[in-house]
Amino acid sequence: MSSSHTETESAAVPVTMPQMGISVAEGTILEWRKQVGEEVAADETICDVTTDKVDVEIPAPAGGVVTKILVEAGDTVSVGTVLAELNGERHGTDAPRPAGPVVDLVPPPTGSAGGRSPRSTPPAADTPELDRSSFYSPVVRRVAAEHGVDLERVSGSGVGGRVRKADLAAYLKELESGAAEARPSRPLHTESPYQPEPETAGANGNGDFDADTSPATERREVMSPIRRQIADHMVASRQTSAHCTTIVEVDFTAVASRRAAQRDAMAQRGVKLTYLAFVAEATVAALAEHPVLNASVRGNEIVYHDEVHLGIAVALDEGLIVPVIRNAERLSVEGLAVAIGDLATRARDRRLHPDEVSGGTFTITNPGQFGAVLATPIINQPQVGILDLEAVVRRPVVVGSGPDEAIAIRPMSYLCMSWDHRALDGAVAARFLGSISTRLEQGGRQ
Amino acid sequence: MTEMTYLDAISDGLREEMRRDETVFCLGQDIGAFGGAFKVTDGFAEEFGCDRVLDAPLAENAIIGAATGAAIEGMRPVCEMQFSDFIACGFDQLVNVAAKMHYRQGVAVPMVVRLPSGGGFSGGPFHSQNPEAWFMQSPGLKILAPATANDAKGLLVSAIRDPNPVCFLEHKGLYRHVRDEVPEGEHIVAIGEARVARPGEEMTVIAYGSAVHLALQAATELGEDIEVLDLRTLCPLDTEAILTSARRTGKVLVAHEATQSCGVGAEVAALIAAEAFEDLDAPVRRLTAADVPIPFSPPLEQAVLPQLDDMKEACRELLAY
Repeated sequence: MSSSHTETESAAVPVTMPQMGISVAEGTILEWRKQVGEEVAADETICDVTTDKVDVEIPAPAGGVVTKILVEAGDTVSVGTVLAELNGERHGTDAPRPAGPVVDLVPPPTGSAGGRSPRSTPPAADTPELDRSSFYSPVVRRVAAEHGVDLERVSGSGVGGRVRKADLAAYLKELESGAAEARPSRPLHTESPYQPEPETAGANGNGDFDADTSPATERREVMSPIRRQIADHMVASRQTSAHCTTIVEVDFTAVASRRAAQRDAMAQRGVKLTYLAFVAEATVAALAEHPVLNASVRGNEIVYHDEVHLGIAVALDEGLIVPVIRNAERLSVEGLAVAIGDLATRARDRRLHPDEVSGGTFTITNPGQFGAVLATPIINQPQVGILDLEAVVRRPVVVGSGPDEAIAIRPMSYLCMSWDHRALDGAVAARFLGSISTRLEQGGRQ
Repeated sequence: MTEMTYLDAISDGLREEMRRDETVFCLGQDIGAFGGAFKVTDGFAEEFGCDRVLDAPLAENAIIGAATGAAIEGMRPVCEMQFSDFIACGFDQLVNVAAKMHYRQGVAVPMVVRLPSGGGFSGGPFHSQNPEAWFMQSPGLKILAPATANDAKGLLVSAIRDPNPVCFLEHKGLYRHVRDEVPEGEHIVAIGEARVARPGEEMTVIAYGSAVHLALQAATELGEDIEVLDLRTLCPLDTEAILTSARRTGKVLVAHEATQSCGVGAEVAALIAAEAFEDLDAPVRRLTAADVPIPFSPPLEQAVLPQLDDMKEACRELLAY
């Protein structure tokens, strides 16, 4: 294989948008650390990229001089896009090409030698600078000859402007209907007699609604990538799942006393024991009893997950992020508290690894710290449930029964869960919430 | 019709042929009391007795040689190589004796060599190979490589009834992962006929064995109008089906899990270049394993063997051409 060659090349080395974690599809250039003409060493940071989840420094794939910057700061491009080019010396031994599954790249008609592996060679389609508008494949030549077509007149949609078989077929079809010949004699534009009704609703056709404000009193900002990602995800989730919200009231007295008993000991170990950790513990235990809530809907199948990867929604200034606690079913309440604290801290510092914000199987959100008491959250796709812990508030409740009935002051909160009615019904949701509330009112999962 | 695994379909076909024709017998390592390394012949010794389910010594040359002799004498032996990789030890008897017997002496050698092949399970270099190309260059052998349970049964029955020595490649990765509808009772799939596994207009993936499933999944995930042609028989190739599809779509990717150089893909590509040149709208491309031994390490093995993403990328490139 040619990929085993060790050779020195002095050629344009592309800098591409890397795959940052399995779920990331695009990234936005934050800043170019090197400009055209500047030297860069191999592995030195050449630019900073932000995704909807994390910031990443992109190392130069080789040493050399930056010859082209193809994507400006602020622009968002998909993974694999060439961001810049270096005119560098890349040694075969320093940067071995991966050895294949071999895609047999037949040399492009005007191009270089073939036989390289797919992961090291930009595909033919990625080299638009190569003009192939005058290269004609055998089938295109034959069909053109049969129909006496001047191929110069056919516009190509293939790689490098190449005329594809499909382009020629479309041209011939057009020719047959007389359109291609007749077109030049037609007037370029004829005003339609039809006058559309003025738009009545606010929708402008893109799903946007224009507020009735004058431009002078409004300010416009392009959505940040994270904001845009949240917007897309939320709308998609609403369109995907049959959202339904069930709410239970929970008495946190027992949790409060267990927390008070352990808080100081935990604090000495550097662990901040929160109500959220207890709710997470009870949720994980309840998920084991009700596996349909630790699941996803795929097509007409329900996929049950054996492991609980628990998403914890963290509110950042720039938007919501949901880091995931892997295998939460293996963690004690202390372990959960540590994991929550760690993920929240690193989320705020934007130091999460991309894979830490994907792959969740159930999510807990906890905006109660701001005093809200009820909410109907949107499901984090492709999960089927999201549990919302609201503020724990001291209020009067009826306790006891029969002659012992009394009004007492108790730390109370609402657990609101949005669930997907495609996967389960209300009775299951209620039983699941009941299981969580029973565990919490008994002080934990003992 | 019954839904069964690829593995059960092979057992089913073999069992039915042994019940139907008492000249059919099996021989191989650990196939009797143990039921075979992959349990294809599980229960066979009880049903047919040890005389028709022979446990052979660790000597593939002896297995193939004995089977060749029995076939010449009118029996229909079905040999099991524990792993297709081990056929190298029986190579001489197969390619020089069995394959050439009819040419030299006009004597039929109706035998089948079952070859559990393929990687993807960290089996390393001695238990993961796809050796079909070794036999493509040995005239006198027929070579089958089914991708579905239905074809596995139907082709095995055809192989047993065929008067020639037949190499029957069973991909181990398909054994328990592929499951489809298989007719009960006599079921025959003709040797030498490819199958359109998915019709399409924009391009063709020509594949066999495990690569058929990669191609089907890639076509579905990409949502493109891709035709998938399952060769099923590698020798003799269904040249008509190959050329018909190539001429219609004008773009062909040949995919297999075996290594690239001088492989089945090379033969198919050469056929298309020679016979369908004026219908091509793109170069014929191949997606294959790299020309290296199969590594034990899972990430290395994944890098060497074609994966779904490689298939999708190769299709995308060809579609964009």
